Amino acid sequence: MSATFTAAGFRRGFLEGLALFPGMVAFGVVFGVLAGQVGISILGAASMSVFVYAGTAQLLALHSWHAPDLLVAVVVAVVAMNSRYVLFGAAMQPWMRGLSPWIAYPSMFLMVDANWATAMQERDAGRRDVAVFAGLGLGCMVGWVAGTIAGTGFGQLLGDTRRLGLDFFLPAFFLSLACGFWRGRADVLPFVIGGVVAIIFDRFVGGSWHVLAGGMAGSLSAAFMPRGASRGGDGTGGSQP
Amino acid sequence: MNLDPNTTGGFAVIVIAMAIAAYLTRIAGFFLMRFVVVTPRVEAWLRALPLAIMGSILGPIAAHGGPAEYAAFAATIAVYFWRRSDILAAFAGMAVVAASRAAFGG
Repeated sequence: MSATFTAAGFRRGFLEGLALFPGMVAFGVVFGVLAGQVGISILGAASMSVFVYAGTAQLLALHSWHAPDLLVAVVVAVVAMNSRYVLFGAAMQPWMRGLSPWIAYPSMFLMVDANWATAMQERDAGRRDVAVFAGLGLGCMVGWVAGTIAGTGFGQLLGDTRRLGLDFFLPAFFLSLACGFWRGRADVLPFVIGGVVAIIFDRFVGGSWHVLAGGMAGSLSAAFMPRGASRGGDGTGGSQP
Repeated sequence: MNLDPNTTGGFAVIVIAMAIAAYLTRIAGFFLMRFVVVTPRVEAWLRALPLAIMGSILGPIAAHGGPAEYAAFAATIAVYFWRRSDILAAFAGMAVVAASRAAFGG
């Protein structure tokens, strides 16, 4: 069975993406407020949110906005923060196999954390409609860009965003995604090794390489577990029908 | 190379560079996996990737965090398993962290 791309799936994904509107707006507002503070215009911030479409990378880029070698700094920020997307994309490829590259590559532009997590859950459920993934990516963009515009325009009225806990939205969202992926004891190893390696990298290497390092170490630990102990063999949500 | 992000041209160059870099990270792994045969071991690796990445994002945040963040993590997990909604759970975490910071400072 190869992957499909249906209009119904796109609609379902888009509506699911719109359902994430409050969270996307909140995250967009965080970026917009900080973008306004470094002097970026509403149109500038909105165009960055559309074309780059990577919240964590854009936030990191703002941190280096006054660096002398700005162009290098922003590209490094994007690559470091988005390094997890290299791994995301690797996990997507078998699921999307059989799809035309003319659909697959534009769809990958819309990949963010939320629709990737959904795609992996669809995969585990044995469904392969890639349009759900692409529609969700587009649906999330609506709230993200709306939040960016609102944050840049009215951000100064909010005051201290940390006091409101806005900086905690993304970690909390990742944690709830992890809860959704949790199947049992076999998941402890990749999660814990990923976390520990990331803490070590965060402390001694810096940048944002900890995501890539922890992700590789944790997932490879599962790959080299004895067979039957890993998740593929425990009979919960396998890929085979 | 010095760019002035306050000019339209300078800002456009920065956004274009960021957009290209972001798109390349999205397609790099996807493209390279075309040349990898999916053996059971590779499949186990790909299956473990989501949680390994979540762990590596959350590890340093937990290490830097204090009581406010730990309380918020607990609230996020509780709300997730209560309502099965990731967005609701994230908002619960955000609310708890804001409340704890207001109560205890930090």
